[in-house]
Amino acid sequence: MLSNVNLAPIVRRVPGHTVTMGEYGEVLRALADPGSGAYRPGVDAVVVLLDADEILAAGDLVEELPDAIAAFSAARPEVLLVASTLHADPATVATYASAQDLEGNGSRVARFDTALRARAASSANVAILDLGLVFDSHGRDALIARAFWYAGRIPYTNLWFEECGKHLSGLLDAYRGLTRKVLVCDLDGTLWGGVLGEDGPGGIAVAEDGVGKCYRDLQRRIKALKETGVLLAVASKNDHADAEAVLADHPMMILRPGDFATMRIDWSDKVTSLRAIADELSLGLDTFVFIDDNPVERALVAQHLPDVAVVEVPSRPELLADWFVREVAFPYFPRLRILDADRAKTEQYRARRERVAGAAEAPDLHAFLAGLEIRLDLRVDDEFLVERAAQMTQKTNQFNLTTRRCTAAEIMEWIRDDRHTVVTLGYGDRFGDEGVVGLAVLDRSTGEMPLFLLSCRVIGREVEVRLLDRIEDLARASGLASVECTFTPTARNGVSAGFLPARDWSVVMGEAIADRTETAADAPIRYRKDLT
Amino acid sequence: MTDDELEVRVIGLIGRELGVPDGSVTPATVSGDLERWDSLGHLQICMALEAEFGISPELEELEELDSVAAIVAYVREDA
Repeated sequence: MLSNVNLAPIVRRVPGHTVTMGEYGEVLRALADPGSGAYRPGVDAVVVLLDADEILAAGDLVEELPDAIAAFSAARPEVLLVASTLHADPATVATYASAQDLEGNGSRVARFDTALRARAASSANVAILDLGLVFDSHGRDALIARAFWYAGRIPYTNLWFEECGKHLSGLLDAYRGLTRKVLVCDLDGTLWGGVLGEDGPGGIAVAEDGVGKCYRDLQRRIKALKETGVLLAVASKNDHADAEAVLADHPMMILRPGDFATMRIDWSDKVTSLRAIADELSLGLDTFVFIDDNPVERALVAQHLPDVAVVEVPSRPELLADWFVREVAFPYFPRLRILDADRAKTEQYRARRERVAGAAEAPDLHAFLAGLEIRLDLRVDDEFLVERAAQMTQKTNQFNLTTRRCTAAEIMEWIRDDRHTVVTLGYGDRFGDEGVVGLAVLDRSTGEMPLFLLSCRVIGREVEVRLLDRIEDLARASGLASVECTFTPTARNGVSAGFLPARDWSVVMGEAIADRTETAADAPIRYRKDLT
Repeated sequence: MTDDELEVRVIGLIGRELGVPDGSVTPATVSGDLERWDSLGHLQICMALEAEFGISPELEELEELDSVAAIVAYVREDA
């Protein structure tokens, strides 16, 4: 971490990460000097976190920083650079004149933040942390510590460091793709006020005025979360037809049946409903977040399904909208970038359910697959797909031979170097377009295949064979005699264990695999396919 | 809170902030006894005192809080 002030207290306050401080006041030098700690091997992220009032007082430094950040990010593409926005004290001796001044602090800060956003938009390894998240959280008096500033150049209180550390940790989680995938919502008392079975469709509170607006605003937030790629589901104890009628026809509802990937509206308990939703979506319960105003239901779920994140819901409706952003979205669904593929996710899962329904009626698998009218789009080294490719490595658990997690920067390196070839698989059929669902990487100098994965959305449609065929073709074209891959068993990827042997890859015998501590049952297996 | 309870909390806080093993800080400890109780360690102790006890020592008081006994006395009077 690099700063122009003393931020040493943050070292212990970024959960899940080891933080080391650069010499404070040495930001520009540290970014430019290959001998500085920022260039040390093993550093995953460099955080530039600046006190605005100090840097604005330091001449042109603030104008030079965006270029220094861009130069560092280009020199070290494998390192994430996190830069904070500037948060200047609006109170200066110029009083109200500061706000009118085109060369005042406010204008300089705005220009800096704009320059930073331009760098982040064009570099996959630059991210911005908005310090407003920290400064607007508790009020200035609770966050600024003048005595510690004059005693040791520490400008903030421990509360500031706690808040800032929490957000840094969240941002790094977002970069690594450590985020949940499904939000399961109760209906009565959660998405609307009142109880449908008692108050009737005209008596529940969801409106543009009064208490009903609290719930309508909450629904707006939930709908916006869905647009970031989170799947929504309903688990409600209600009469199915009555509740579905409200969702479909109540004029004030924001969320509609089409916004939910699936709904369980019946009289079964919530534990059973959540399990059923997990089965239906083929997703683990550890990707679930559950919101329900009823503390008994929350306790039941927390006790029986410890993998599900169960969030306390405020009992005052006026707090719901702010609570949802701060206590649900940030902790459980942190995102660094929103891709087009994320926005289409719910439609993809809904189409998938229809396909599953179709499979039950179809006479045999091959006829069913033929009836799907599958279209595949295999692309080699396509830089436009780098974010999606990285996202898949982070989220795919089932059909994943090596379960290697990669950042966008790492994928970009593979695409751009001469050794590696990155192949993506796009999928569409008559039910809809799934986007990019498969990824494989070949090292053409060694024949190693470090990555091969397929989204669980298209498992069972034999498209993985086409992806592997392409890798083998590319290997042959590069003059390789064989290709190799180490299948690494995990708790989740059993479905892909038989794939390589079924494609005539054979086990490489007698080859020691380094750094292993597993028992024989979950030991990595080395496979090779002879191409000659 | 009795003086003993306060002393136990202060000792725990100092040990935590300095990252030293249990037992390193005693009722008799002064800043010079511990290598980690340097100027940065001292500030981190004072910041934690502010957060935990709601006290707000003045700049010129900070350096006087250089022993377990001095801190206990200050917190007792100020909190």
